[in-house]
Parts: sequence; C-alpha cells; structure tokens
Amino acid sequence: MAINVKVLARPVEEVSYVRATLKGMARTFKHLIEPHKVTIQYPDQKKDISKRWRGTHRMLTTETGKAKCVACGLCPTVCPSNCIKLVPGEDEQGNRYPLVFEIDEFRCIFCGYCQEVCPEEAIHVGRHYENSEYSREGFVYDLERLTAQTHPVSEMWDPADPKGE
Amino acid sequence: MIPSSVFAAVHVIPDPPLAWWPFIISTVIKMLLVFTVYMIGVAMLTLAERKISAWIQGRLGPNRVGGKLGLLQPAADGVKNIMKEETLPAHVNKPIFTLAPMLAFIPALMAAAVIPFGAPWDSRWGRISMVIADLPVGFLFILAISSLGVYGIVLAGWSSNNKYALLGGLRSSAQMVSYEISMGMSLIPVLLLAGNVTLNEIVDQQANMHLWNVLTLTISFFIFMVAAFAETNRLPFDLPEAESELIAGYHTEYSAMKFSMFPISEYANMATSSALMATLFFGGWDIPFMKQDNTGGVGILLVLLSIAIFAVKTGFFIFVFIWIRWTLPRFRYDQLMSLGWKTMLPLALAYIVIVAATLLGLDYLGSVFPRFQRDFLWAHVIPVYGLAMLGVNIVLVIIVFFILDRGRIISPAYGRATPQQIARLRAVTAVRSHLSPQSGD
Amino acid sequence: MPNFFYQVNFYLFGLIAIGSAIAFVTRRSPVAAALWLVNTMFCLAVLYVMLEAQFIGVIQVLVYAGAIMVVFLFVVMLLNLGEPSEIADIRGKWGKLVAALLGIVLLAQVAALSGKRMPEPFIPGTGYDAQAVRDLGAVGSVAQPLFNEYLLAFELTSILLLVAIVGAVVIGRRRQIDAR
Repeated sequence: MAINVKVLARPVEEVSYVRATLKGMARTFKHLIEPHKVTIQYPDQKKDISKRWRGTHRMLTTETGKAKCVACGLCPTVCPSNCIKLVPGEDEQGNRYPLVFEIDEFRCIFCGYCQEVCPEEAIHVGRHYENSEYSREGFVYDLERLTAQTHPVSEMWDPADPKGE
Repeated sequence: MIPSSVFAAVHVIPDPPLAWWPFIISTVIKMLLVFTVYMIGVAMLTLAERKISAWIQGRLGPNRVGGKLGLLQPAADGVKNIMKEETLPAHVNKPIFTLAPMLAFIPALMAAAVIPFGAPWDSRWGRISMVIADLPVGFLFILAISSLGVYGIVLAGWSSNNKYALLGGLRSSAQMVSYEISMGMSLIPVLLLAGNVTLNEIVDQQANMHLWNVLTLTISFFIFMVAAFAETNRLPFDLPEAESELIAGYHTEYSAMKFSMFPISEYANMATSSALMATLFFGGWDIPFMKQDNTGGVGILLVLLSIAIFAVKTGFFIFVFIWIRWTLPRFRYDQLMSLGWKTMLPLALAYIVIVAATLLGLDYLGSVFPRFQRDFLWAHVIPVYGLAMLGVNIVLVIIVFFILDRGRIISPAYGRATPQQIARLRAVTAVRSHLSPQSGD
Repeated sequence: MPNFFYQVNFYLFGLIAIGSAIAFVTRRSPVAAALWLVNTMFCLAVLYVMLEAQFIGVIQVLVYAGAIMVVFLFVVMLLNLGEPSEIADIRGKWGKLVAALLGIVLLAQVAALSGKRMPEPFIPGTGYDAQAVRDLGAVGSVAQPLFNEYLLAFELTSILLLVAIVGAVVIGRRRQIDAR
C-alpha cells in the first residue's frame, strides 16, 4: 500500500472540545457501570481452548502401559524445527520400539505435523499449555514423561468439519 | 451613583473565644484527624483509581488482597514499596534528589490545613470551628502553597541528571506557572461575590444566597477545574510524566518509597483540589435545605452530618478526576500552552469584568428595589439576587459553550493554519504520494 | 505567654532568614543558591504574618517563591547552568571592594534605623494596620488604600509592567522575523 497521507479538512466550526469530552465521559461511565467484565481470573478460571489446540506433547500408550510408538522415524523426519530425537530399538520378537524418544519443547513450534504423520497415533500434541520449568533442561521431555502426561490430546483437522465445531 | 454598600466591609462575627487549653487540644485533635483521614484517603485513592480504571476498561481490578474489592491492596503496595531497594543513581545531585520527594509531599498536605470540613460545633468549651487554621487570607494561602508543589517536581527532574527527567521537570514548571494564573483569575468572581477570602465566608455566602456558586459562576468553575487538572498533573495534562515520550518524566530515576512519595503527593493534591471545588462552588459543608447550620454553631450530630456531606462532595470530585483521566487522551504541548494562555486566561479576565459589572448593577438595583438586596428579608423563599445572577450565568454559558467553543478551546494541529497553508500541505502530500511505491506491501 | 512565643518565633525565623541569605550568596551552584533564596523568602513571609500582614506574607510566597523563583529555576535548567561556573557578576578586586563597601553602608543604615523608634503605623498589633485588618479583612486593608489613595501610583506601576511585557514581546517577535 502506498503511503498516502490525507490531510482532512475537519469542520472546525462544528468541533467542540467540551461537548466531545462530555460525550466521551458518558461513554466511559456506561462502561463503568456495565456489569459484564472481560477479565478471566487465570489460575482460578481458565479460558476454554479449542479442541484443536496444539500444546504440550503426549505419547499415548497401549493397554499394557507401553508407548504406542514403533520408532518408524516419520516424526523426526517431518518435524520442521528438528526437535524430536529418536533412537529406534528392537526387542526379541522383532518389534521396534523407541530406545530414546525426546522432544525439546523449547525448539518445538507446535505445528502438529508429528501427530498428523504418526501411523500408530502414538505422539500427540495436547490441549495443554501450562508447562513452565525452572531450567532449560526441564523442557526436554523424555519418553517416560511423555507417556505419563494425562491431559486431553488435540483433535485432527476434519475436512467435514473445518471449524471444529 | 455607586451605592456605598459595594465597598462596605464584610464584618466577621468572631466566634465565642475558646480558652487556650481547649483551643490547643481541639487543634491537635483536628490536626491528627485530618492527617489520618488524608493519609488513609490517599491510600484508598490509589485503590479507587485502579478499580475505576479497571471497571471503565471492562476489567475487574485488584481483588486478591482484602476481599472482592481489594481493600487491603494499598497496604500491600505500601509494604512492597517500603521493602523495595532504594536506588541512588551515580550522577544525581544527592541532597536535592533526596529533598525533592519531600518538597512534593509537604505542600500537598499543608493546603488541607485551611479547608473547612464541617459546621462549627457549639461545644461546652466554646465554639470549635471545623478547620485546622481559620486564616484570614483563606484560599490565597492555598494558592500560595499549591504554587510550591512545582518545586518537588522541578528539582526531582533536575537533580536526577537524566534528560527525560529534566524534560519532565521543565514541562511541569512551565505548565504549572501558566495555569496558576488562570486558576487565580478564575477565583476572583467567587471573591467578588463573597466579598471576602476566607473559605468559611464563601461557604456562608453560598448558604445565604441559597444557590451554589456553580450555578451562578459556572464559567469560573469550568476554568478552575481545568486549571486544577493542570496543577495536579492529571490527564489530560500529565505531560510532565508522559510515558510515551518521557518514560516516566520527572520520577524516572526514583524507586521504592521515594518514588511513591510522588504519587502520594499527586493524590493528596487531587483531594485538596476536590475539597476546594466542593467548598468554593458546591456549598462546602453546608447541609442543603437547612437553615440551622449557617446561623452559627450547631450540635454534634449536625456537625457530623455536615462533615459527611463535605466528604460526599469531595469524593464526587475525586471520582470526576479519575473518570476524566480514563476518558481523555493527553494533550500536545502546544495545545496545552495555547489553551492556558489563549483560551483560559482571556476567558477568565473577560469573566471577571462581566461578573463585576453584573454585581455592581445588581447592588445598584438593590439600592432602588429592596428585593434585589443580598440580605433581602424573604431571600430564603425567593432568592431574587441569586436568581438574577443565575439568569446572567445561563446566558454566558450558552455563549461560551455553544457559540464561542467551536474548535477554539482545543484545536487540531492545523487549527490555526490559514486555508492557504492547508492547501499547500495538501499539495505537498499529493506530490509525496507519487514518489512512494504504488504497489507492494 | 503569647509574647514569649512571638519572641521565640521572631528570632528563630529571623536567624533562619539570615542564615539562608548568607548561604544564598555563598553557594556556587545556581540551583542551590535559588533554593536558599526561596527559604529566605519563606522566612520573610513568616515575619510578615507575625506583623499581622497576612496578605503580604501570602503574596510573598505566591509571587516570589511560587512564580518568580520557579521561572528562575526554569531558566537555570533550560540553559543548563547547573554546574558551578564563572557567571558571577562581580569580578576582580575592585568590584569586590565596591560590593563590600555597599554592603557595609546598607548595614550601617539598618543599624541607624533600628536605633530609632518605629513609625506609629508599623508597630504590630497597635497602629492603623491591626485596626484596618479587623475592620476590612486581611485583603481589604491592603486593597482599600491601594485603590483609593494610591490609585495613580498603582496605575503607573501597571503601565510600567505593561511596557515591559510589550518590550519582551517585541524582542521575541523581532528574532522570529529575522529568522525568517
């Protein structure tokens, strides 16, 4: 857009500061006595977040309590910020499982590609955002921590219901 | 021929004198009382400001300490400010840097000494007037003291050795000196009407006239209120601490309790100005629709009632101060100066002339028709004198606010530009728009 | 009893005034000097009030301390004269000598005058002033003679001030026009 400053000719003869002030004061007074307040008292009340909110990761588990992950390596591949560290392993039956699965929540941009790409529906982004820590190391979530999380997980985008209603 | 009554002195009927010991005891009690109420009131004002600003902006405001209204928030703030570290920047002028917060704070409290806050009490020891010091020079004292408030700000700005603080101090000194004049001039009609400068006399005059001065001298009230906003550095006149330009202005370098002295003095000034507005223009402590209280001393219950009425009136003006702060944006500096010197001052001067002429005319009429005398027998039934003043006032208000106030009180940046200058500006911007890229972001 | 308080206050504020005045002329920093001058003016105002001249006392604070000294400070700050500098008016041996002589003459005059009895109207609490204050109020006792007996002098003074203002405006405007 071009910078095009318009010098408006305001009708000076009709401008009155005092009357405009009174009008403004009436407006603010209306707000003053209005009972509806927009404040959300955060730690006590929380804002409703979308079903598709992409927050702290969570690893879902099977009935036996093991992580669903099969260490296919899709999520570290697709991850745009390169925050997933995956070292695959294999047990006696030949089932692949992650030896190391770490997500650096500081590097993560919460795009949710890992959840979309996961064939086993194992890794998920969650509907959760309160993940403060005292140190940087605390933000590197290992497999144990990822499976231990209990918050609800994000829903995928559904073409039939694009707005998530 | 000018009637001699115009120049007749107003005889102050002296109170039944107190003996020296009830005088000292009652004065000490009044001092302690006013000081305590002032300090608690100022603390509560900080809360009120935060609450009202929150409500106006659709928020809740402080509600964590002391119930839903956050009544203990001022105490929490005070404790925090005392516990905080006092920083003393390396290049400040130390004695003046330490002195400045006190100089801001002391005048703010001193002015409260001469404001009458209640009807005189006929106690068994004699008549006790509800004012700490009933000075014969009344509100000239308040003007003098409030003119000293600028020292705290100017010295804070200068001694901080910081360009923002210095600019804040410079702005405040220019602003306060300019508006002091309009403030003094706006009060002269009140003096003319009352014939005296003591605040108690002004309260009595309004009670006797059965009309508040705001009804007879509206334009004075308007000028006084605007000047009071400027004197207390409240929005829309808070240029000395304009955050967007000067960080925090004159108190940029201050911290902890030294810093909080400045807000405290600002709120104390606000309370004093509100009390003054209530006294000078809204009848002061006078209980409306009642005769007893302005005939002299009254019993303790009526005294308490009059104090309550005074508190309500003062509280209302404090609310107006806060209300306007959260309504209006800040002026530009040139608007501030042109408002003070080119609008307020000529308006006040013209108003003095008009009011003086009206009073002279009415006093002359009073010598011909007794109905127009100020102390006419039936004045409390039909205040003819006051009604005549009211009529003149209504005409003046219509002239000032509906005819003269057309883009003149506060003008836009080009308000005083000639049509040719505006045309040239337009031409310049048209050329500039050709030079700028037409496409892209 | 009141007389004792009067004496104590008189000497207290008199001494503070003298001390501040000495500090005012000896300080090198213009801001500190200005502040000491404000202090002197305050003490003078107190002395005026003690002489039953409340109006003069208040005007002393309002005009000198509240307005003129603020403008002084304003100029000092604007020109950044905060540091001690060589802005003294009196320089050199001869200048100092003349200044000292003038001071001694002034002191001698004060000493000679204080030996005499005060003229009747200026003795506090008894003369014309106290009676006038009681009758006319603190302001009326000044206003009445000012606008009746001394009206011509008053008007002449106001014309003098007006001339000064017009002169200031002319000087300011001429610079503007020259700049253009």
